[in-house]
Amino acid sequence: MPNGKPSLKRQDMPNNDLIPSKKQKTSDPALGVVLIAIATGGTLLLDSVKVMGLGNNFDPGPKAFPLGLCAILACGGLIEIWQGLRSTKSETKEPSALRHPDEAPRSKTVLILLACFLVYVALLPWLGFSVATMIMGTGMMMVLGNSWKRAALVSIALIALIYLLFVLFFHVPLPGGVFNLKF
Amino acid sequence: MLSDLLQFHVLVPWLIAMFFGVFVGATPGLTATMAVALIVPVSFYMPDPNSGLAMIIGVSFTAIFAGDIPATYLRIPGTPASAAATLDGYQLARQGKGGLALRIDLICSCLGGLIGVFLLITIAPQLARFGLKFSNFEYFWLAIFGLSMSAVVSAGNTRRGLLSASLGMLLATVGLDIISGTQRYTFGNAELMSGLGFIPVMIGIFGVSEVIRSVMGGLKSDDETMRSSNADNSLLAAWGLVWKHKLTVLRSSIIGTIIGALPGAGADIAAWAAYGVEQRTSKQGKDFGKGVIPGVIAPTSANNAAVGGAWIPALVFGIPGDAVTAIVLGALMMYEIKPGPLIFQQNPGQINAIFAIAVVTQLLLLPCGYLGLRTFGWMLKLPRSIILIAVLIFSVVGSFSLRNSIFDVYVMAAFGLVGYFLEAKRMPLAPLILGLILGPMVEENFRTGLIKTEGSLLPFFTRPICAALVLLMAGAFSSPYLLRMIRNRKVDR
Repeated sequence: MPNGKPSLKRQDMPNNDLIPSKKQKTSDPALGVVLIAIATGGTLLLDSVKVMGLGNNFDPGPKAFPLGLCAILACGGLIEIWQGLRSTKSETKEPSALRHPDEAPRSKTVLILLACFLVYVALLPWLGFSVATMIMGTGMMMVLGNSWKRAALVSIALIALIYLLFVLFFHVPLPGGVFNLKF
Repeated sequence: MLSDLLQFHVLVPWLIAMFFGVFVGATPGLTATMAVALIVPVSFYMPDPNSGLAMIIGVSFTAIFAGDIPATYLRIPGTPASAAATLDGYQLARQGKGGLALRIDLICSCLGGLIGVFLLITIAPQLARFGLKFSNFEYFWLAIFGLSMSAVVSAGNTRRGLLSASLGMLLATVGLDIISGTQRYTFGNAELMSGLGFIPVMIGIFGVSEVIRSVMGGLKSDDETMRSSNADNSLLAAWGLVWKHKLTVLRSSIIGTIIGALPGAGADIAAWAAYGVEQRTSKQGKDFGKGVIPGVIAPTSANNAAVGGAWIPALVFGIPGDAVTAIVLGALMMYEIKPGPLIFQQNPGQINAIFAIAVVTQLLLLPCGYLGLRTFGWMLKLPRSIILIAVLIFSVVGSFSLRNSIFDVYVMAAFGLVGYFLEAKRMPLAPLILGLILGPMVEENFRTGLIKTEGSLLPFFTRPICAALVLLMAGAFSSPYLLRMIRNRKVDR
């Protein structure tokens, strides 16, 4: 802490992106490609909007605003790609030793968790809330390292809590699925 | 008014929501934005709209305070707004004064919140009278100003902030066109005609994506400072120290309110700014970061004051000050409360109810926060892996329950992935949310303005308030470059 000033490290400020580190990457070709894809998709899909011309009575019409936004996104995407390609030429590749050793296993965990979550969302209308939550809630907790007994118990507790809160208290009918369960 | 709020059916859900805010705010990785996003669907089922509003407002204030708890004990900010509190709070905890630091923090959060709300009550009606002079042209620029400011202050990368805001506005075009009633991006789907559900998008972006990020960040937490002594931790001792630094509380709260009121700048920026100002002006400035009381008081007063400040543009112009207020604004619209200058004339009862809820919330924060401090040890014992999965399940139920629509659950899941991808690519999410809310306002006012002027763009620049807003924006965008030029010249000399 030289000169008595507090050393503000980036790790002190998770989610706080106000003070970017010097080495923070400010361009990303992958992001650029995604932005251009969104802009292209947005523009092509505007063809399905059924209006006569771009607008009338001095109103630019319903297509003009999204079209303008797509143009901004496409320009932003091109800048991302251009700057990303320029910076990758001048930069050396990040040495793998500098990466966090847990990064790869965590990515795998996240991917499995995401897959489970998407399966849970997809199964929800078919299996119903309680069955889908029992199976997939337990599964997701096990993915994060809990024992099956604890995971199953917590899933039951969560289903009971949500049933009390939403079904009994707020009278929200949760998806019953093929079993047509009321909870 | 007050007696209406102190009814059993209002007070009980209000207190429960505030405890929920303490729980989410104190859990590292879960933010105040997420707490508000998760409580909104629950609040719609309250029989009295005031109890729903009280729940939402209560959560937004308590989660910001609760974020300081792990910031002090674990050096992990519970919410981004608590990042500045990690510096001196954590050092005090290492000296065994963590309990005292958090009690000071609690008192300052209440006082900061009260000052913020007092300024809101004082300034908002005056500003609303001025706002009555606004027409489509001014509202167009005001919305653009809000979006631009959120981009300027985000991530140190204005370009990505602007792109994020544009993406949000593009998403807002899904559904029926406001002026012609034409369908856009609906693919014939009836559920898309009313646009993308605001709450499922919020829950996806702030709930699901944060769960993913938390898992990526690792699930273990460090509890080395939990050993800190609880000696001399009474609220009375803390009050004595706060009173000694009353000017710091006042100064930081005013800074917090002003920064909070700037569209796009939230409680996190307010806390850092107040900390910086206090460091420069305090006699103990050299010791900041080593565990000094003003270093705790400044950020914790400012971050709660900023929540009140963020309500000023939200209520007066319908321009949210930050992501939390953006969600609250969306919720108000779903309660059929349309913020804007006219609401102060047409529905003063509703405005007074919101003000009263905000004041009482500050007073309730003291017992709720105190209980939160006492139960923090218990909260830490809950495995984060279980909390995160519970958040995922509540995200699903919360999105479904709004319209009993499984389509909303799909929207939530999709935006969870979108939010995670964008954050991984360092795209700030707050401008996207503001874009989603302000997009219709920008488009409607621009097109209506053009129809009024028979296609002329001139009034958009020649009207005095429009010109002032354009100049302000130009100043905000060019100031970093100008400052850099001035600094370079000084270095050259």
